[in-house]
Amino acid sequence: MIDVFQNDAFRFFLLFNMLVALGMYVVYSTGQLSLGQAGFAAVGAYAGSYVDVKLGWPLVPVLLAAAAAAALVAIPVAFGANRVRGLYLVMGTLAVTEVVRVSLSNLDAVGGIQGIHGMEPSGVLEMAVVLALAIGGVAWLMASPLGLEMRAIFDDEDAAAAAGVSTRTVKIIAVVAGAALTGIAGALFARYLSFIRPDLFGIGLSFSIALYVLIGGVHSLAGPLVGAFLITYLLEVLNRMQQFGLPPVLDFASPWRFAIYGGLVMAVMAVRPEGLLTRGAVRSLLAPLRRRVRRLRASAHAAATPARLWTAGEGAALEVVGVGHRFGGLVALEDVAFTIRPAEIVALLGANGAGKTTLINVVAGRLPLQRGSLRLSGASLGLLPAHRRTRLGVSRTFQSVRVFGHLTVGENVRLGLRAARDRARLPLGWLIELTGAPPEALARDLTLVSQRRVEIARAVASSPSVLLLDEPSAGMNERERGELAQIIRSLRDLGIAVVLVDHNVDLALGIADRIVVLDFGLVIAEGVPDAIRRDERVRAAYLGTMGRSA
Amino acid sequence: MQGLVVRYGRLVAVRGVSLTMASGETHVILGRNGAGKSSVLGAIAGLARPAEGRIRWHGEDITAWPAHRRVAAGIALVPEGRGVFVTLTVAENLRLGGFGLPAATRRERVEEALALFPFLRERLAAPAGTLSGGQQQMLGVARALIGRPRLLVLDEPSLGLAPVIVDEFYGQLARLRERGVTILLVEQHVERALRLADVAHVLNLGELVVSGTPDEVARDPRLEIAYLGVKP
Amino acid sequence: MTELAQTLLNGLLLGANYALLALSYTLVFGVLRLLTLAHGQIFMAAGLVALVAADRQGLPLIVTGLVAIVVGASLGVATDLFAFRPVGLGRPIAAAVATIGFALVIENTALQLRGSSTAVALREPLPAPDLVLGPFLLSTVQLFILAIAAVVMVATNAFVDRSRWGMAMRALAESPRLLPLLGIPVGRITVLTLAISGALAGLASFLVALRNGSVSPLAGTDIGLVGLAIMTIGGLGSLPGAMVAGIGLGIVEAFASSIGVGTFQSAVPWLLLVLILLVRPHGILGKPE
Repeated sequence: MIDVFQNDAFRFFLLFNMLVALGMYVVYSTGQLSLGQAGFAAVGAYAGSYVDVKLGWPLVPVLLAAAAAAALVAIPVAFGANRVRGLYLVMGTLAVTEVVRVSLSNLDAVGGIQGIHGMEPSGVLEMAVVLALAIGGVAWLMASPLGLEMRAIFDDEDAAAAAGVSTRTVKIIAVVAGAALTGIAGALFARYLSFIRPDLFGIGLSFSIALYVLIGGVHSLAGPLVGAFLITYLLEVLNRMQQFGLPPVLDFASPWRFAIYGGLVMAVMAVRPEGLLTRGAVRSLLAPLRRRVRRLRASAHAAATPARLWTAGEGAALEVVGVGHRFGGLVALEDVAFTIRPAEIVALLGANGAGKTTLINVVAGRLPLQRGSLRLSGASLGLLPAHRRTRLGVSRTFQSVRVFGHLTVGENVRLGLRAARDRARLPLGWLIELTGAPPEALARDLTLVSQRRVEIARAVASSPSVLLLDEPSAGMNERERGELAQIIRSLRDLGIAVVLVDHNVDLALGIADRIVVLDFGLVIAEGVPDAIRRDERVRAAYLGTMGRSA
Repeated sequence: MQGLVVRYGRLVAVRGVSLTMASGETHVILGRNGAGKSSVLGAIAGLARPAEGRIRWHGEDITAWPAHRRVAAGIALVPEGRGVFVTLTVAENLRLGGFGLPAATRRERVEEALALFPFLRERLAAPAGTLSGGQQQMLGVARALIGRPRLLVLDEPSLGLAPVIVDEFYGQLARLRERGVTILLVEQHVERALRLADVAHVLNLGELVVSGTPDEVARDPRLEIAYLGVKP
Repeated sequence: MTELAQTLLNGLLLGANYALLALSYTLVFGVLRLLTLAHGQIFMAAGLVALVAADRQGLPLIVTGLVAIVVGASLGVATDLFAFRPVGLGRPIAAAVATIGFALVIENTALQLRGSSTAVALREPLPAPDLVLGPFLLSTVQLFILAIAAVVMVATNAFVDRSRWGMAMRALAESPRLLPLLGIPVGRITVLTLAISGALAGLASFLVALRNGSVSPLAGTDIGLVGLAIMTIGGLGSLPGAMVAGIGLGIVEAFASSIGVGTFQSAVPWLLLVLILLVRPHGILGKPE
């Protein structure tokens, strides 16, 4: 079975498949499942071949030209990809493959259906070198802060934007980078064959590449490489079954190899839906390495209490003036106005549907500002997208906990730190302690309450002047709520203005400096907790009999 | 008539919990989050298999029965989060409650449910998603009642609802109780639940620590410990 | 018949088949929120088996059609049992990949059993057009295709909207976990959905065979992808969208063909897809999630 490696063509295609799988990995690491990779490979192959044959360029400029051409074509695709999500994106990219192929077939300048031929030959050696460089480059990328942002987008794009990540830009970079890599692979492929035709880069290739990544495992760099390797190897072995001198009963393997492959695909998906190399598997393989790194970093994590972020007067006040919001004909908010000063805790109370979460979404930028104005220290927030507001100092958590499941606790927090910009940074050790969880744990393995604390730490890590907490105590018991109250108070002591939405009346009334009560989108009461407790309107609209037993 | 018997243990969530209900009683299970209340309900409804123990329903061992079979046997669960289909209309939600019934019977039962919750009558053609949280909760109960369950199980019905709405909802539950429906309730709001129940059970860290009448349980110091955690 | 009318007729015939195929995908996606990439192969296999059986056993046309429907339904159920059930309803990407595996199995099997990749032809030649309906000149078979397609499309829609099981399917689409609590077994509904979906694909295959006169074992992938494209154009999960997009694409393709776009013909569905998505990122009648 090792004999297959003697075959030069097999060796080349093995490396080629690994490189294109790597290219797709770069794109898919942001959650964009692209079935357009074959199109990029085609563009790269043609560009490379053209400058080779018609202009006589040497190898490296050829590859650069291929990368540049593929990247250029990828730019409009990347912009289009930003507008569509999910399956629409998948189908759109599939369309790209087909449109590219048909266009190239009709372009006489590049030989139409006949294609181009006569390129300088390249072999396995060149491909191996390029692959090695590519692996190094992609590994470096994924370990960098940009890579962290990409992986965060994969897990939860909206939460990433709320954490200050410029999701549009990162996604575009991912598509273009992946396309460039794939273009280079295409050019090398063309040189290996010394000719190319459009139908070599069809939808089938795009699907194959997708399978390498999805079967191999998408949460690490090794996954797609392993997937490409195993699948290419398996199909080749099955193809050459007769040559191995095995009993004739296995002769069926060659003509039935695709059915066997298909059956294995079904089996793998049933057992390992996230691919063969899950993040967990890779982590346990890398565990010894990680332990060493942790020991090196341990000293850096001193859990000192941080100095105050904002002093009175400094920091920001949030002014909400005349804010209104409608969903079609439904009025969710009507003329809402209040001000939040630094270092105070304001609780927003109201029945379900009263507009509390809508208000948070409008302030945070998740919903557009339809009416009224929002000002942070006098500067208008109204037109800024969510991630910009986070970078300016308005952070939020979500009603249903949104952490980045496949990232560690430490990575979740560090992502938040990136949005701190030029403001004073909170110490990483203190933030990790805030989560109450080990920094190396994967966020999705934590309990709901721990995840909430991770989310809060992530929001606080950007050194906000205003922190919006949406139902943070949901799912907590009395003790945990007490700890949460402590945390919120310590945030206030740092100078942060905290806006708290919560259904636990005791918690809200207990720690708030001021209360704002919403009912059907209108502010019906505002004041200190004691006054609100006794307010008849609030009783009728929300508290019922509960307010009495404080 | 005999009632429900649950006796089971599972290392992870619940350990050796036993309770017996007689027909027409209202039982409430209290405990903080993570105490295992939902796991107990899941086992009763058939959503999860207990590692040990048996569940007996009117003398029959139903431990191995799948969820939909238990429904046919008369156990209806209204899960956490309302249990309604928001994209379907109110009428369709009610129809689903009587899925296996002959049309005439189903129509009869729907009328009964509407009599109990008259506000639904005006909203029959509206998508369930347009109802408020409290109304959806009541729709969930109405839907469960269509199957004329002998046991109505409710998982944290007041979760996420404004206090004044919860008052209303418990009023409805009290009326159901008067009509003789056997109710098993899981709640975090101690006060209201104790007012409604005949028997209360407290779960702490997966174990049943107290069982008794509401008065007994309310005065038992173990209730406070269960909610506030171990006192130093 | 004028050329315009001829083109329109071709477009409608093509569109009717497209619409049925898109409908079969949309049922699965709309109800189960899952994508199946095996329907192209089911389409091919159903037609193949039906025509081969008709050839060997000398079956009348109606029976051939029924064979295609039954084979389609069976393969649909098989998709559920072998691809969806093992993976579970909560993992759409893994489920879709599993259906790719299943598609490979079907295609390989069909090629091996058939023995070659040549197409199978209808036993009897198609009748010549001899009916006149307004500006259209068509054959009884063509009228039959249009009528059946229309009836089935209306019936499917009515089924999902009004019937008991259709309601259960819509409930499942919203919340798979809630359904058992109502005493409705989820498995029965998924099987039913996939059976109907497979039957639609089989029927579409039979109608295409009636139009073209043959079925090719290699046709599966291409037609399957076009079906997916149509579902996307119409809006994922929207039954009316699938029908509108299917008929629309059929007409567009027919006109493109009559104008003569050469090798761009095969790219027409994809160009249309890109155009629609740019203007309406959720397809014509799709709803944002």
